[in-house]
Amino acid sequence: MTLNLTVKEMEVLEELAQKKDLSKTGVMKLALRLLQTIDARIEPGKKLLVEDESKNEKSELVIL
Amino acid sequence: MTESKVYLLESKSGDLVEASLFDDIQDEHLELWSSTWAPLMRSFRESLDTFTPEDSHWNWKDKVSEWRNFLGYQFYSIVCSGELQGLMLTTDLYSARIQEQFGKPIVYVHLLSTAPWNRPELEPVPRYKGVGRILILCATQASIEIGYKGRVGLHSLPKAEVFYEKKCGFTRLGKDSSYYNLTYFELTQTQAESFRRNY
Repeated sequence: MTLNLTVKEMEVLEELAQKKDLSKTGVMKLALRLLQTIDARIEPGKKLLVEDESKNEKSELVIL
Repeated sequence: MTESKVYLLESKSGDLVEASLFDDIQDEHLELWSSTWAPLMRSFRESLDTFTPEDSHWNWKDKVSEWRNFLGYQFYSIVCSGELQGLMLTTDLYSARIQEQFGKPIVYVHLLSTAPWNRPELEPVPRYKGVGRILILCATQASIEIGYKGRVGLHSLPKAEVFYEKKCGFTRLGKDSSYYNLTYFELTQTQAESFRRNY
């Protein structure tokens, strides 16, 4: 399989690979595993939230 | 499913005996859990005058059913002499908390359990020793293979804290109010290398 990415997408992939200490393939595989898990957990009526404990704030993460 | 040969220490004889480590929990393993391990745990839980194992309520059938089909979740089992000796569930979707590796992905040990007959607090002479260490070794190996360089994290039940800190070399990061107030531990790449070298 060949993965065609735009320049911007490749930049993001390279940034994430460096930040996460992973190869670009490792990042793509991690993304797939995350998406599968999130997709299965998000059902109608459920939300994915990001919580900032220090500010006592919760923001909703929109997953299509 | 992959099967690897590992060795456990048989307490009675002092001999190392061959065991099988599987990177899955199959139906036959769940049958062993249901027919031997779970009833024994239930009896300890229901007996008022004996110590109740902290993990006695874990239902491995439910866990396998819930997580088996997810790429980010992995089960492991150890079988020796036709008996189930240990079970583990890991995920590779979590991030490290220690400053030097903060935000980098880790293999997180969700659940790790050794059979009740291998526990010194339940059996005067535990049948086999080394199950927990093999499973942690396995988690570090999985971490290396996936590109996480041996980084592993977990929340420990209170009675297992000493094992993770002293026997495996994890760093203790304190109690986590967001997760049952259990103490969180993490293994860095260097600590994982040391644990594997000294195993």
